[in-house]
Amino acid sequence: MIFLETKDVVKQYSGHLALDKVSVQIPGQKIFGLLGPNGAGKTTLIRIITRITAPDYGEVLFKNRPLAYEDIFNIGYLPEERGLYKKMKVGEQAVYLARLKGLPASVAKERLKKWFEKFDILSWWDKKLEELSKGMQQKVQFIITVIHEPELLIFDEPFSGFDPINAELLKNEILQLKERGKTIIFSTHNMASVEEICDEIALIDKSKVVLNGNVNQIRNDHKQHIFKIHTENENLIADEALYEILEQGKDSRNYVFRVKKCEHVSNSEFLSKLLKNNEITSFEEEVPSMNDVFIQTVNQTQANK
Amino acid sequence: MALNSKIGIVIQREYLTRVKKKSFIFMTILMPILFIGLSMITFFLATINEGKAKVIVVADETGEYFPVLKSTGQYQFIESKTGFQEFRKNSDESVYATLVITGDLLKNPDAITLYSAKTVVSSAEETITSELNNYLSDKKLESYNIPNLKQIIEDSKIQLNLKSVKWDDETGSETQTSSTMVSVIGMVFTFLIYMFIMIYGGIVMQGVMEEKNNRIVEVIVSSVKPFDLMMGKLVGIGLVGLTQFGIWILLLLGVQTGAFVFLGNSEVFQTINASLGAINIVELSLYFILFFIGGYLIYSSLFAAIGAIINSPEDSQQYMTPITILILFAFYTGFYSAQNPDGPLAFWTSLFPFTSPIVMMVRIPYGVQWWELSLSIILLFGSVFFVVKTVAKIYRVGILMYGKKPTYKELTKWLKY
Repeated sequence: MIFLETKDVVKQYSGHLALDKVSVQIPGQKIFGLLGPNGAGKTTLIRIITRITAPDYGEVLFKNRPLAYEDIFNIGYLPEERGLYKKMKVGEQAVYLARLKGLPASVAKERLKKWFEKFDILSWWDKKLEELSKGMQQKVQFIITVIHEPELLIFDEPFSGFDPINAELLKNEILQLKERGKTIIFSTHNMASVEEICDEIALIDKSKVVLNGNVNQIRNDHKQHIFKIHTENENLIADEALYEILEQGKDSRNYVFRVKKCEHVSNSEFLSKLLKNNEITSFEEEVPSMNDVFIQTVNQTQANK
Repeated sequence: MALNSKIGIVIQREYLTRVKKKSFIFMTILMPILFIGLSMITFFLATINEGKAKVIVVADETGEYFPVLKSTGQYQFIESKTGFQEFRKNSDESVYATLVITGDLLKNPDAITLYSAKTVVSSAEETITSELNNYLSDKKLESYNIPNLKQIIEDSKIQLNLKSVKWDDETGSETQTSSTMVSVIGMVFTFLIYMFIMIYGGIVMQGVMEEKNNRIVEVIVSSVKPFDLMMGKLVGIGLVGLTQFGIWILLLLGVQTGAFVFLGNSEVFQTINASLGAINIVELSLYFILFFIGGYLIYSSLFAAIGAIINSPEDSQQYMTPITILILFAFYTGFYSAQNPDGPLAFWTSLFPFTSPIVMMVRIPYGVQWWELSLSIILLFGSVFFVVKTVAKIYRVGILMYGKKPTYKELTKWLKY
């Protein structure tokens, strides 16, 4: 099921094109990664989805119908640039922002107390925001984003400013939200976290979508036919036409080779030929990290210009 | 979710967070004390100045005129025992000036000179000439040798006793007014409205800037329309101003009642009360509230636009200057109008919406034609509508724009988004 879809969205700011016919499909109850270098147009796309700005052309479909004003109450948005009222008491402003999202004051208070307890910041309820550490402020901001239990959540760089322990806590919360049936858009530069939690991604570069699809699929598609082979022999004996050795070395027990296989040979064919002459202890294809895919794709689009 | 309830929530926050602040309570109580205290100090200093008389030494060669010069509170006349030249040599700091009279002033009016080390203030000259003039004209009259001439002239002077009475055509009532009291009251209200617009306009600007710089605005506009956020802020902060005014009116009534209890029979209090009675404080306050709302909305929405445009307080100057000049112009026109409340300047500036809230407050205590008042109010609130609408467009774009401050050309582009 497609939860949210943008069709040929174009946004022009005075003098530059921020989005150029951007079409993405965001599946329901999945975590969708919105990736791209700085200034690619991610924030503009998010602002169009949250109806902060309107697109010049194109449309946004929310559950297969045009996005309407009321839908914004069904969206929770955590902007990259965090901000809350510094001089206002934490609990007070959390209730205020929850009320703006349509919750009655009493419900807002009840839910907030539960979340504050869960994140271990309940004792800070009556403190001014500026008295909190940065990590605690981030927690408050996260709670405010999810408090009205919207169906769609948008997190822009949610892990920035968190220590590893709290980042893990947050990651688990995000995964739990997905399990509870929420659709999540996750914008980040941190490719390791994309591999860990995203189901699908879209990579935006220079105002255009340059890559999209399932994360595993994309990583498979970007395989470079590189294998890591462990053997007991000092030399790798096989038809030289099949591969090219990139690196070789020795670990405590075995000899290790990193080889690039020729594209026309299938994996099983390659392995069977190697097995004839070598004592293979392990054979593994390298799947590129999202980081590699990102750099490769962005460099490619820049080279094409 | 209804729109109005959103504005309501914003108003509630803007109002409560400010009214609950200690600084608000403190300022509300401190301001009138400061105000009264300062005027009392000024008054006190003025009396001190009068208390210390300046010494003027009189070297009168004729011996005729010295007895005529009567020392006043400000100037003390001392006869010079020695000659003038000698006196000049021995003169010391305690002598302010020396008056030298060398001949019969009726025959030779130039035979009088005032010497001083400093430039003599005009009031010293006035005191001397008026005292001598009286004596000389009496002497001149005597020289005509007509019996009882002085008495005749005295009788021919008619003492007018002019009372100003304000008439009310509808009720037929007549109230005695004191023009000094009226102008004082008008000035106080003008000053109040000027001060309120400046202070609360500034608060609006700070509030908008805070939200923009904190980036909290991004969170808020994903659930509230920018227009609702802006209106909520304007109304909420405006209500804080009205609350402060309300508290001051209550304090004033309290002081008046207190004064009545303790000083009810004293003459001073009776006079003040009588002239205050001629001015309808309740009516004035209602007009004040009306013009405050209009003037506040028109200016504070401009301040809100500035807050949305700029990224740091240092950038505000460029945009603030035209607005400050406009407010100051209104303020000075208001003070000038207190002397000439029906002149053309007062008339036109009390219709022009950017000056009318301030100028009209001076004129109302003197009485203004009903059509002028209604026209002024209609023009004011009509302009409020347009200004707020225009500003909302700038605000909507500005609060999400970071980086360099926009030029006026770019601003006009924002209006078309």
